[in-house]
Amino acid sequence: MRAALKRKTQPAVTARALEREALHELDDGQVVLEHLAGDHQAFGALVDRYQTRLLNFINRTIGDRERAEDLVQEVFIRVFRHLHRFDQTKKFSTWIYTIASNLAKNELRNRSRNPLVLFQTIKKHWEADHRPLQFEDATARPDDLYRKRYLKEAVDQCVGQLPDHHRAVFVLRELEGKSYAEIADITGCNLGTVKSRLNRARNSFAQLIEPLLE
Amino acid sequence: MTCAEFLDRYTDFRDGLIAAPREIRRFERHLACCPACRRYDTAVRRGVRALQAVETIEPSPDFRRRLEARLAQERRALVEVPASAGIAAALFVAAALALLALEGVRRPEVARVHALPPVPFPKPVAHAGVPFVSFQDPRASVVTGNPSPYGTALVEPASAGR
Repeated sequence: MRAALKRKTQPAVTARALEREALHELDDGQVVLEHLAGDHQAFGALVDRYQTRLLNFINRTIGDRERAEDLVQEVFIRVFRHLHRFDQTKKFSTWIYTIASNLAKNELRNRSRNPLVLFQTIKKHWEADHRPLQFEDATARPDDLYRKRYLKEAVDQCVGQLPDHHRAVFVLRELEGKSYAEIADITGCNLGTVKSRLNRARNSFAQLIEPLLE
Repeated sequence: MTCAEFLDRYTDFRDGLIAAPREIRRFERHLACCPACRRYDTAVRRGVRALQAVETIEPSPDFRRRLEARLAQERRALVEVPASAGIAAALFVAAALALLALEGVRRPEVARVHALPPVPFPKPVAHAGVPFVSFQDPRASVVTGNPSPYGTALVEPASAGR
């Protein structure tokens, strides 16, 4: 009886897995069309593709991992609500990154107006970073551990010290690999402004990171 | 190439937007000759490599569960909205039909327009000359109540016999 039940459920699970597999082969535009046609798994495929990328982008922009997760959730909710109005001739990744960038900008704007929120964010990260080294990878040498951790903190801090509008362009170009045109669309600036901000961001980043790399 | 030019165009160079081989050689020659700009280029490249090597963070274990719960709420809201939208549309159409019916039944009053006085048409002149144009002093026109305080141009036809 149990074996018969097992045989009965297996084909349904396999079909679902096959559908999900098929969705992963499609590009973003085709997945969007599948979702609009009523495929319930299609939106999940978009979430799979973008959740980590958006989380890292927003985290780097605002410097708060927990808040970044909330904002990523908000991005997907807005995408879900407005996907029927998305212009299929445009790139989906540009659109979703634009929503993410706007939410990150709003978050930073709200923080600058509320010093208490900023203080609490700094305090939260201060405590989380101060954990003893002996609880990390025990197989690595202590000096390698220190150097890796130091470099990680150093580059993160350098990026965090860039002005907000420079940082967004820098992260989109250097980490997300977006083109100038895509960055212009995402940030709502013209190409000249993107280049100018990117140049300044690189200047600032080089000045901050150079002493730490020696 | 000067350092100022190198730094100014560094973004194009770094992002591979300099297409002309001669220009690329200028940048490379400057990098070979200028220790400050070489240090700058190295700092940017190594810094970005270090940044890219930093581990990416993954969403927390309950991220997907929370998102699915919110999406389920959104899907329920989508099902409820069409019903209320249909009722609102029906009410709107009914109101529009009622207004049309009301306009059809009412007889609007047609306003009577008084006949305007006949406009005298100037007699044609056999040999028409250049009209005489004079200007009234704007200060006088304000005193006499002329609505145009900037002066008035008076045009007399040639047939006035000035």
